[in-house]
Amino acid sequence: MDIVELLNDLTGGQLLLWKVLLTSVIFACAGLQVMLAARFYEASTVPPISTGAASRTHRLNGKLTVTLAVVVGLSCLIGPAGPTSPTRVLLHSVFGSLVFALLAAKYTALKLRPAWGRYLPWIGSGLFLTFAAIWATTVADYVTAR
Amino acid sequence: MSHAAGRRRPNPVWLLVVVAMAGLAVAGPVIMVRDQLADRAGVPTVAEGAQPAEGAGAGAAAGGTVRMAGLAFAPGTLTVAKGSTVVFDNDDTAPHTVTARSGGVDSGVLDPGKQFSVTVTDGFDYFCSIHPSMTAKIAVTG
Repeated sequence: MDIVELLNDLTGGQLLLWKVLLTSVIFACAGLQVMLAARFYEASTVPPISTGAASRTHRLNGKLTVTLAVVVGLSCLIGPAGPTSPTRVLLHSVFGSLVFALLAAKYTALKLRPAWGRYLPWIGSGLFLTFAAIWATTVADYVTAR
Repeated sequence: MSHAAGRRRPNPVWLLVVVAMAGLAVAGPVIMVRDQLADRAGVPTVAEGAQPAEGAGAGAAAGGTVRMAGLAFAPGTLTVAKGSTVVFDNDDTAPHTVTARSGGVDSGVLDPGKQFSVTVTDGFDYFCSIHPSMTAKIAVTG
């Protein structure tokens, strides 16, 4: 039994549905991350919580988002990854790879090169937009195809 | 304090996280390039152990074959006689499924090179549950 088949069995034959649901959760979490970041950078008063609480929630939500993204990303890489057509599939692969490149840049700026911290808002915004693009090139297609 | 002494040593755990993320970022393009090179080299797509479905040979004339390639089913609509066998042949580089919208027919995951056959009594619309934009139809006459 190959890994895709195993994952398909584990999800009761609903692997794609699970991926679609998780991708939507990740996208929502990414949106929340941007809002929380704007709050602790004091660029926004929404959500109405302290900057400290916003920072702590941002970290917790970030860990959850990255964990889910890795799970979904790996299930794509070991399964359907490879084809470059149609364009939607190619774009999905490009954005899927870009999101991990941005995460590598983010962790570098956060943990290894603090001087790069000034780029974090740009990297974070890029991550949100890339997650949005991933969502649009899969979930939107999945829903319209149904 | 010297500049070198003032620089903190990177935490190896975070270094590992960064390397893992970079690895995931590179994996996608590597897989795409590998598949493209395999396509150009004309690597056979029939996997070892793939068994032709019953009716895939001479009998298929009464039914038909649907080919999966380039993330599409071909033909988009296959018309066959009632009671005939349709063979679905995954000639693609990605795994696919043949899943009827109304239920009743579900091939499960068909890896590249694998086949699935079904004897049809009624027409049905179907799609690939891995790539839902792949849709097609079986029409039945007689």
